[in-house]
Amino acid sequence: MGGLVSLLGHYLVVGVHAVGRFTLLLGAVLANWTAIFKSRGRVAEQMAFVGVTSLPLIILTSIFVGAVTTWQTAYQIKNYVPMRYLGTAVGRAIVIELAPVLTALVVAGRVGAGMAAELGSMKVTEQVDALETMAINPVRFLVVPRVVAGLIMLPILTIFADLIAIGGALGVSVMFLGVPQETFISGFKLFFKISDLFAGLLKASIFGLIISLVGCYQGLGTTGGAEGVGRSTTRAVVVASVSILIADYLVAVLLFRQ
Amino acid sequence: MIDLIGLRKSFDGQKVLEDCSLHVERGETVVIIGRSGTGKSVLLKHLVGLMQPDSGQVLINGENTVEFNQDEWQQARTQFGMLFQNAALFDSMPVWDNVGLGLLEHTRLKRHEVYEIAQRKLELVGLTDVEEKMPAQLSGGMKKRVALARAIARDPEIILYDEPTAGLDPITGDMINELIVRLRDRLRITAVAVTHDIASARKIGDRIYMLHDGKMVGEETPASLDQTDNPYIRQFIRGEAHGPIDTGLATV
Ligand SMILES: Nc1ncnc2c1ncn2[C@@H]1O[C@H](COP(=O)(O)OP(=O)(O)OP(=O)(O)O)[C@@H](O)[C@H]1O
Ligand SMILES: [Mg+2]
Repeated sequence: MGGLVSLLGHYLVVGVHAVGRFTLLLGAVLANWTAIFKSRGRVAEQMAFVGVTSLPLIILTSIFVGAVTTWQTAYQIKNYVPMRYLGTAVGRAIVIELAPVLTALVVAGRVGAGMAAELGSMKVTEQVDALETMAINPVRFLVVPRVVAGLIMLPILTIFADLIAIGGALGVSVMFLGVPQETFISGFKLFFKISDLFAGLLKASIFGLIISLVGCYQGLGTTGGAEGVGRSTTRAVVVASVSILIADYLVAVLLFRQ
Repeated sequence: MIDLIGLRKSFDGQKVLEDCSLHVERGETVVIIGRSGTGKSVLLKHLVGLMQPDSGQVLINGENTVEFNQDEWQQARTQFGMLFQNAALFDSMPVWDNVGLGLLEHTRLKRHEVYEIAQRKLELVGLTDVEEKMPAQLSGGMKKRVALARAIARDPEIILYDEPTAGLDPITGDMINELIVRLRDRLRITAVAVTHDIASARKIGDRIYMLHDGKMVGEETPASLDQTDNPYIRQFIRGEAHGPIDTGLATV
C-alpha cells in the first residue's frame, strides 16, 4: 500500500515536472517568435518537410475516410432519413471533425515522430550543446521554425483532406448507393456554413501546434543514445495523438454550444 | 581569465569532480591530461555553462558564471569557441554552413562573405574542397578538423579543445598542434586543451595538469614533464599499468 502511494506520488511529481517543462518550452517559443523573420529559410524548409512527408498518406487516408463515412452514414440513416440529406451529414462530419483529426493523427505519426527523432539525435550527439556554445538559442533556431510550420501547414493539409474526402464520399454515393451527384451536392450545400470550415481549420492549427511542440519537446529532452531517440520518438507520437483527441473535445465544447 | 574554485559535480551519486580548482591566465594554453572517464569533458562543459556544478565557482574575467542567467550566458559565449570531443557537427548542414553558422547568426556578413571566411578557416586546418560536402561524407579526422574550424570561425578569445588530435594521423596531428600554438602566439588566445596525447600536450601546453580522482594534481611545464616527481603523472606519461594509479589489473 505504502509502495503504491509512493509510486503514485512519484508519477505525480514526474508528471508535474513534465507539464512545467513543457510550459517553459511554450513560453520560450512565444518569447522567441520574432525568429521567424530571421529564419524564413528554415521555416520554409520545415513547411516543405511537413507537407511533403504527409501529403501522400493524407490523400490515401482521406479517400477512404470519405468513402467509409458515407457508407456507414447511409447504412444508419436509411429508412429514417431521406438520402438527399446524405451529403449534409457526411459533409459536415468531414469538414468539422474527420478531416482535421485524422490529418492531425497522420501528421503526428509522420512529422511529430520525425521532429522528435531529428532533435533527439541532435541532442545525444551534442549538436544542441554545440548550438548553445555558439550562443545560438536552440529554441529560436530549432523549435520556432518547426512550430510555425506545424501551425501553418496543418490547415493547408486539412483543406486537401477535406476536398479529397468529400470526393471519396461523392464517389461512393454515386457509384454504390445510387445517390446522384446533384442530390449529394445540394444536400452538402443545404446546411453548410463557412464557419464550420473555419472551425475545422482552427482545430487543425491547434493540432499542428501540439504536434510540433510535443515533437520538439520530446526531441530536446532525449537522453541515452540511440535507444533514447527511439523512446522519444514513440513518446512524441503517443503524447501528441492523445493530446489531439483531448484538445478536439475541449474545442468542441467551447466552439459548438449545445 | 578563467578560474575554477572548488568545483564539485556528481551524477546520480557518482562523484566526478571533487574540489577541483584551476587557474588559467590570459593568453596561455593549459593542458589537462587524465585517464578516460575521469571527467575532463565534464570539466570543459562547466566552463561554457553546458553543465552546472553542484557547488563551487566558475569565474570568467572575474565574473561568477554559476549565477548567470540565459542572456548573460548568451553574451559570455560569444567570446568562446569549443571543439567537442566527438566533433558534434550539424549533420543537416554542409561543411561551410557548419563553420559559418555563428557568423551568419551573429553578424551582418553576407552569405558569400561567410563562405569565404569558412573556406579560409578550413584551409587553416588543412581541408580544401570540402565546403559543399555533408558531415556524413567525411572521415572521423576530417570531421574533427571541421569542428576545429568551426570553433575558431569567429576569432574567439577563449578556445576549449576536447582532444584536438585524437583520431588524426601523426602528421595532421602535428599540423593541428602548430595551429593551436600559432593561435596562442599570434592572437593571444586563452585556451584549455584536454588530451591523452603526450606529444601534443608537450607541444601546445604552457602548463600541464592531470585530472585524477576529481582533482587537479601536479603542475608541470613541457620542460619539467619528464623529470616530474609526481608519481601519478609519471605513471601516466610512461603509460604504465602498474603504479600509484590502480588499474584493477591485480584483481583479475
Ligand atoms: N551527462 C552525464 N550524465 C551522467 N554521467 C555523466 C554525464 N557526462 C559524463 N558522465 C560521467 O562522468 C564521468 C566523466 O566523463 P567525461 O566524459 O568527462 O570523461 P573524460 O575524462 O572526458 O573521458 P575520455 O577521455 O574518455 O573522454 C564518466 O564516468 C561519465 O560516466
Ligand atoms: Mg572526454
